[in-house]
Amino acid sequence: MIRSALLLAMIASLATQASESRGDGWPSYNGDYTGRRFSALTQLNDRNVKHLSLAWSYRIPQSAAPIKGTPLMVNGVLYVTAPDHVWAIDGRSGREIWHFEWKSTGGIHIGNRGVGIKGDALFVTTPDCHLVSLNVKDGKERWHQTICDLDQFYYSSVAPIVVGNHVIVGVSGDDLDVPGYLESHDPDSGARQWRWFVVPQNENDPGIESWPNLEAAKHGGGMTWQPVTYDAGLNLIYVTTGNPQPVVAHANRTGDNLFTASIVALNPDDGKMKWYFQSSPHDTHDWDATQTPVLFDGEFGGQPRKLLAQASRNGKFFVLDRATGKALLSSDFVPTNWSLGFDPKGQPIPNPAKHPQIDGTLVTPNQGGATNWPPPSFSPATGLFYVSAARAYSVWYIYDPSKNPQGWGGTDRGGWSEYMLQAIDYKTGKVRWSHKWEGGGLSGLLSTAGNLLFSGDGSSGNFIALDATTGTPLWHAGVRTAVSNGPITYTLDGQQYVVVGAGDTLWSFVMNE
Amino acid sequence: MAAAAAVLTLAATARVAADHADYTGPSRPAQAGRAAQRPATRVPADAEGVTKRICGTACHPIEHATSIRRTRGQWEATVENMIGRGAKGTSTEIATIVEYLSANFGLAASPVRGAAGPDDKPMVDPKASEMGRPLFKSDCEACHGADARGTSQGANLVRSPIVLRDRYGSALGPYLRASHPPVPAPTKLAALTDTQILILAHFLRDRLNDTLRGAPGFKPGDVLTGDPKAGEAYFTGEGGCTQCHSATGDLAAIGRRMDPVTLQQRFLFPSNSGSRRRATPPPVVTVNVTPESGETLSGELLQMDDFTVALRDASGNYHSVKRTPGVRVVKNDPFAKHVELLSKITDKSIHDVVAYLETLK
Repeated sequence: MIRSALLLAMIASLATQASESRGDGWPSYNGDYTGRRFSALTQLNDRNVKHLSLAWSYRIPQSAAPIKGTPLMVNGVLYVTAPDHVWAIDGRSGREIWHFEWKSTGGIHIGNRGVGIKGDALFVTTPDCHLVSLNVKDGKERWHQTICDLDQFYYSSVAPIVVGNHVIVGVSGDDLDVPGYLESHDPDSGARQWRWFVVPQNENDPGIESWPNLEAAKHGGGMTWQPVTYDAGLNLIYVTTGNPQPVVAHANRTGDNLFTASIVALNPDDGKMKWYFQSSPHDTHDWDATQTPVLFDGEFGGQPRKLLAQASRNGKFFVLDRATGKALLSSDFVPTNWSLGFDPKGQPIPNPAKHPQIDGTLVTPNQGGATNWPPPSFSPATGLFYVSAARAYSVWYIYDPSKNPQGWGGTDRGGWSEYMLQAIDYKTGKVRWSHKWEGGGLSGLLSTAGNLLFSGDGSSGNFIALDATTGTPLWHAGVRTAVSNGPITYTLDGQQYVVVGAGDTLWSFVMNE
Repeated sequence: MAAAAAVLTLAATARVAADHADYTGPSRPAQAGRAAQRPATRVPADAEGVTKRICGTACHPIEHATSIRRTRGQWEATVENMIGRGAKGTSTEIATIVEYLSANFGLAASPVRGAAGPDDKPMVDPKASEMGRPLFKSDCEACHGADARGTSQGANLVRSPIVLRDRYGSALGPYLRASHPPVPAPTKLAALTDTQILILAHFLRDRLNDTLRGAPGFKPGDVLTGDPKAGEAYFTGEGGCTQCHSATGDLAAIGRRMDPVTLQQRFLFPSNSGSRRRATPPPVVTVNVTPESGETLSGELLQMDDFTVALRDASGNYHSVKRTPGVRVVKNDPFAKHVELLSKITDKSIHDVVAYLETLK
């Protein structure tokens, strides 16, 4: 299926691009800084995957499920999380090495995306607004810092990303009208190094012109609950931002509402903005743009380019030049009905008739989105961007028609949805193949140089390996609960493992060849 | 945590009882224990298990669902939303889930782990809040607005860090008495009693809670905006509705049986209607499976994925068939025509059809 010379060249270029990961571990949320969730490992491949077999499984308490975080694998140990919990597990046997539990004082316990690790230090966020550092050896606390205000209904779920001497974390919460921000902490002391506000906090801040007044901007939301990606050469981190506030009723926030629902490039050393691209100008459907900004180098328009691609919750696929933020391509990866094309910057133009209405308007996608937080994958071997997608309709209502709504002030209701894998050609923005699932729900993805793509099939409860080129299922295991995180792969003792979370269970499969 | 909140309120009540005879104590938080709230119930015995299995394994912990308090109508809407987002269950299971959530997690139930905000956030005593209303109206409303969301003269109190930090007057009292900018006579902020501070704290928390999902006002407004005549034309013409339905048959007096919002939802998304109790079970998806050799199996579709298909036939027998290239599977969705509508129908036609159906009394 893949010419070996081409593959070797691809892997060679990968090794330089993603120097952090040589495939033997999974040292950060996305496996490396690029967000591609692509592994160069080939021991397991499209020819032998039918022999992939169970190595072990590990269950967390049902009350803490589902496992939504991506485990890290460092030096043979897996680190898996749930809100308020971290477990260290032997990657060979599934044996628990230690367990840390944070005594919570509140916050939304909807999920935790995982840990960050630098040397002996592990970092994790908690629903009650803390960044906690543990010792990887025994799970004992090194320090903790407050990163947000629980009284303002913030919470935290993000996986910290360590970039040099910076631990980068974001915040969550969209019940009250509070501003989102991203911040950096010192790995040793925990001290805050900088904080970047997503929405203007002062009259002269960039983006203020996209709000009716400072009061609206200061309370304008834009949560940062997706781990950042990073380009060491450009020294830029890429953060994606959440929906503006109030979420649905929007009478008091006319304008584009910068820098909500955007992809933003920041300098990791000082948090200063280099460029932005707004995936959903003036979003009114809770379609935050916090889907992974995936970085890869590739040919575009006949030239080698440094690219960033995102399949956004609003159903749009974007390819940007990641040095400048300039859009090279904008398209739909599922049919949508809410926009009137793209503006000259490549940003969607919202159709005013499809903003939520008092008597309801039928919109696709629904609030869950055309995709959501489950991580996508990009394979340089196939040139395809894979995303777990939904074609979903619901009716959107304004519940608070006043001039000064707060909080949500409306929502969507009802709905119909179907789920599929979309394999997008990044050069054209077109879906090359689509594989529809009977089950409901999205899944995290993993692609490998062995021409494999791993995915769950939603509520049908299978974990599946597909041919990454054609989308044909090659292997599956009935894990009986929807895959609930992004799968990972690594080698230990010369054997390739694939690990996935489904509900309360972490499943580990191994190639015994 | 619930107990802690109740104790706090009771302590505050005891403190104010001496100087204010009108306010004799909280009516809701003190009796907020879940067992005490549970009504005489038709909730099946396994309801908790069914709810946890379908709503608490794949997408979010069960606490995430139950952390927001909702009315029965809001629970129905929420469960339907989740079906729209891919939640799978039989109609019996879906109805059971709605019964369980409505019985146990109505507006009066106590808070649980997983809710937004701190575990010790104040609980509103509706009686105290209502007592605070006239005080707010006379002394605060002119600057802060009737909804407490601020005017050009005064701050938005729903977004106020002091109100958010407050616990039964703990932050509000010191601020009002000592730090609030001077206000016109005759109000004397320094002279506010503990009781007045407490009832104001309840009133303001209530206004904050008004803005949250799950608030009593969090529901659709008037959706009856269409033209009934145009709706009838669509019903009998372009929409193709009369292929299966009749205004004098199955839909006779539908306008009496369903409110406009429910009607709108039902005709667009009939497959998530399982949350309502109904006399006859809703139609189900059926499947015909033809193996490489042998007779076609037909029945209710129980489960299908890329690898197997399972069904229950008319005699009640369970069949599961491995899907191989030679096996033919035909799925029959009784609501397929409604699904086809979604990519074609305009918002105007939606509103017209609802207006028309509402005239069928």
